[in-house]
Parts: sequence; C-alpha cells; structure tokens
Amino acid sequence: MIDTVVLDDVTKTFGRHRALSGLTFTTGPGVTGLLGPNGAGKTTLIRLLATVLAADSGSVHLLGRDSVRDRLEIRRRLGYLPQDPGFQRGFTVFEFVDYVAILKEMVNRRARHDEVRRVIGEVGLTDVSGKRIRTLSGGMRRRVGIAQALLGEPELVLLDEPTAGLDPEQRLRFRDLISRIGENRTVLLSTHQTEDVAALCERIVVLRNGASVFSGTPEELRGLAHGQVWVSGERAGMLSWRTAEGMFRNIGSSPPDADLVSPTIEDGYLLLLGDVPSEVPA
Amino acid sequence: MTAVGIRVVPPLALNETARLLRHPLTVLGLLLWILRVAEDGWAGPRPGFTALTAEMIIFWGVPAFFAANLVASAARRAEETLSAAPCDRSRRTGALCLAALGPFALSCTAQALMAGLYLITGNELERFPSLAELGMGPLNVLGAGLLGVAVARWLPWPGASVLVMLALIVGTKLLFDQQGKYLLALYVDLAVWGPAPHLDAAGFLPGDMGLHALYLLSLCLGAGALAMLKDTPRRELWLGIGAVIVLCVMITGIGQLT
Repeated sequence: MIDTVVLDDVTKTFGRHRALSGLTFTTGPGVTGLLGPNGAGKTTLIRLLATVLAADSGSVHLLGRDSVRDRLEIRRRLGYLPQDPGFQRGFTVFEFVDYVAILKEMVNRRARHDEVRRVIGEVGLTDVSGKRIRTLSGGMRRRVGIAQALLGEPELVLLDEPTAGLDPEQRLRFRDLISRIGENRTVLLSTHQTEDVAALCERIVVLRNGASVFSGTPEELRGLAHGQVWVSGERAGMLSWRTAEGMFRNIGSSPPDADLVSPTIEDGYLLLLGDVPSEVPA
Repeated sequence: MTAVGIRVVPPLALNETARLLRHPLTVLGLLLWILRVAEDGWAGPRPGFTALTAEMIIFWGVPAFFAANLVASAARRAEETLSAAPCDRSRRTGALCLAALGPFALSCTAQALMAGLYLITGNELERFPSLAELGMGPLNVLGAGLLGVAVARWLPWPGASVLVMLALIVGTKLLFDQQGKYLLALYVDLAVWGPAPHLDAAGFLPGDMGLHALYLLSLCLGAGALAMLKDTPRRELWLGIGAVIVLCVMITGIGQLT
C-alpha cells in the first residue's frame, strides 16, 4: 500500500488549547474513518489535511508532497467537505458547484459544466440543480457540499461529518458513492456514525485528546471488545442499555454465567474510550 | 502565480460580473437613474445638464456600491470550503475588482445612449457636456463597485458598508460647505443653480474637468488597490502601487481646483 497521508508528530494549538498533540499516523488509498469524541481533534486534523490550517510542529505529507511547501499542488488534487460548509445561499446548486469548479482551475467552460453536471448527478441533485440553495433542506445542502468535494475526481477526499443531517436513504446512497470513490482514491471520513465506519472503512483511526489511540482495521477495533459484551436480565458492566427484547446489553467484564455476544465496532470504540483502560488489550 | 492560476481569473471575473449585473441593487440603480433622467432630463437647460452629468452618481452609484459589497461578501459563509481550493483569496478579490468593470461598461453604454438621445431630440441644454463631464457618472459607478469590494474585504461586518456610505455622504457635505473645493467631492453638480424654478444655470463650477475625471479614475484605482492589499501575498507591490495612486489623487485633486 502506498501511504498517501503521512503525519509525523503533528502538534496544533489554539491559544492554550492543544487540539493535536504529537499525532502520528499513515494511511493510503481506500476509505479511512476518523472516530473520536467531541473535541478529540478530528476537525482540526481534517482542516490541517485540507491545507486550511498549518501545523505548529511535525510534518504532514499528502500524496507524496509536503503540505506546506507544495500546498498549491496538493489543493489541485484534493476535495474537501468541511463540517459546516456554508454556502452562498443566493446561488443555485449549479451556480455554487460551478463557482467552486472555477476556483479548482477548471477554466474550459464546456468541460467544466459537464463536470458540474456529473457531480450533481452523483449526489442525486440533478432535479434541483436550478434551485437556490437557501430553499433546500439541510440534507440536500449537505449533498451540495459533497458534490463540490468530488469535482475533478480528486485523489484525496476529506469529508468532515458528511452524513450529518442525511436521512437513512440518503446515507445509504452516500455509502454507495463513497465506497465507489474509495476504490481507487484516498478518502478520509470524520464521523460519529460508527455504522458508516463499519460499512465503509478499511481502516480506522481513533483520536482522543488530539492523539491517536487506535489505528487499525474495523475487525481489530471490534476485537477490542471480544469477550466483553454480554446480555443479561439485569443492568451491569461499564455501559448498559435495554434492548428491544427486554434484555440488557452490557459492555465490560462479564460475570461467569453471562451470555457473551459478538461485539460491534461501536462496542470496541466505547471500550477504547471508556473508563476501564485496564480491560482494553494492549 | 502559475499559468493555470492566472487563467482562472478571467472566467471567475466573468462569473462575478454576471452576478453583479444581475444583482437586484444593480438593476434598481439603473431603474432609478432612468426614472430620474426621464423626469429631469427634458425639464429645462439646467436640469437636463444635471441629469446627463450628475444624477448617475447618486441614483446608480450608491446602489452599485451596495451591490458590489454584497456580491463580494456572499462567499463569506462558504469561506471554509473555498479556502481549500487552489485559487486563493487574492485572485478572487482580483476577479471581483475586474467584475466592477461590468456595471461600469453598462453605465458607459447607458450614458452614451442618453447623450445620443439628447442629440437626436435636440434637447435644450446650457451646453453639451464634455467627454470628461459625461464620464463622471460611469467613473463613480466604477469607483462604487471597487469600493464595495474593498469594504467587503477590510470591514467584513454587518452594517459596515452602511457606515462607510454615511461617512462618504458626510464627507461630501463637508466639502460642499467649503467654497472652491466642490470638485474634491464624489458627487458634483457642475451647473450652478439659478433662481427658482432652477431651470437655468447661473454658470458652472470652476475647475479643470479633465483633471477631475483623472481624479475620479485615481480614486477608483485606489479603491481597487485597497481591496487587493488585504489578501495579496505580494503586499509590498500593492503598497507601492497604492503609494503611486495616492500621489496621482493628490496631484489631480489639487490640480483640478486651480
């Protein structure tokens, strides 16, 4: 695997707050999920990879280039959906995506318009391409943001909370889209949705307090909870919730007579970030 | 700046020009000016002269300022998305400055059509305005557009453009109150009003109108340089250009009065 994203000991502070603290990880083509609680540094990391922010120290190499020295070259090859994209609300969908396409140096009008129509079609907004963005629902606006990120078939796609505000059908469509993009490109997906990560990602990086606390496959993350998820008639464990069957699903060390069940990625993630570090395998 | 980077500016400028020309305030400015000229343009020798030379400054210039400001500010909400694109903010500002040429070209065309209409209809005027006098309106429309962009870049807060416009109005009023310095103001009615009902002029303001047009042009370029200065990676270059423009403003500004 070619490492298209390489971070080495990256630090970023905002005033007294250290958003990234000696972060090191590498990833390559395919879909990589970034998980972590609020304030873990996911958005700072995505912004840094989008070359919108610069690291205070450490090095960031994207697509084989230095993110500071070769910023322009990298920008030509990346697509970026921010957490809160914001739009020129008076623009139509087509106008906005076309505007971004110009900024992405697509100067040939006919080819640009073909590309704009293509990405709008990819996200299923062809029917509303002439509508003003301010008249669209939150989910549709999200899809406009995804469309602009796909312009020019970028080699590196950065998506910060792309499924926020999407309804279930849109999320499934989105998964289909991202999995297709990830077949031959590098996609970094920051999300709180562990279902999306389970469905899409070949690799997962979990951040906490600006540092990577896990980097591996979904199976490896799930494996962290192996033997620690069980069902019983009473509430117990580190985390516990009532299921539709009236039983309690508990995460944590299980009593001898408990019915152990197969863990999910979410279980592994919760254990990783929970208050029982001694129970997490090294 | 790479060759591709420079090639982005023309299509971006065309895109911004289209938005600026379609902006409701630009259309409103044009309509207000047409209504004003229709009312005053054939009312007498003095109102006709004023309509042809001065009324575009207020009735089209002021809406043009706000239109350019709003168009330049529109991307503020999308700044995070746009900031990761290869085309940086300085080139976007450059494209917006070039887009101000759109309303300028439209106002030149409108002014030329109006002047032609005056000639065809044989409208009675104190005298037919010179090219420099005819250019006052369109130059103000150009300056309004460029200043609107500069204000959007330097004062990106709600209400800032209104405060700037109020400051311009107060400044113009102060210059009006000082004898002999009228031409330094942005709004200048060259024909001195005679006795009521003000249909004839009691003469014209003294001054060199050619230099006044150059003075307005220098102010336009100054507003453009000010806009460019905000985000440019070549700050020294634009500071140098700005210094030359300030010198031009001073020379033409003083020169026009004598």
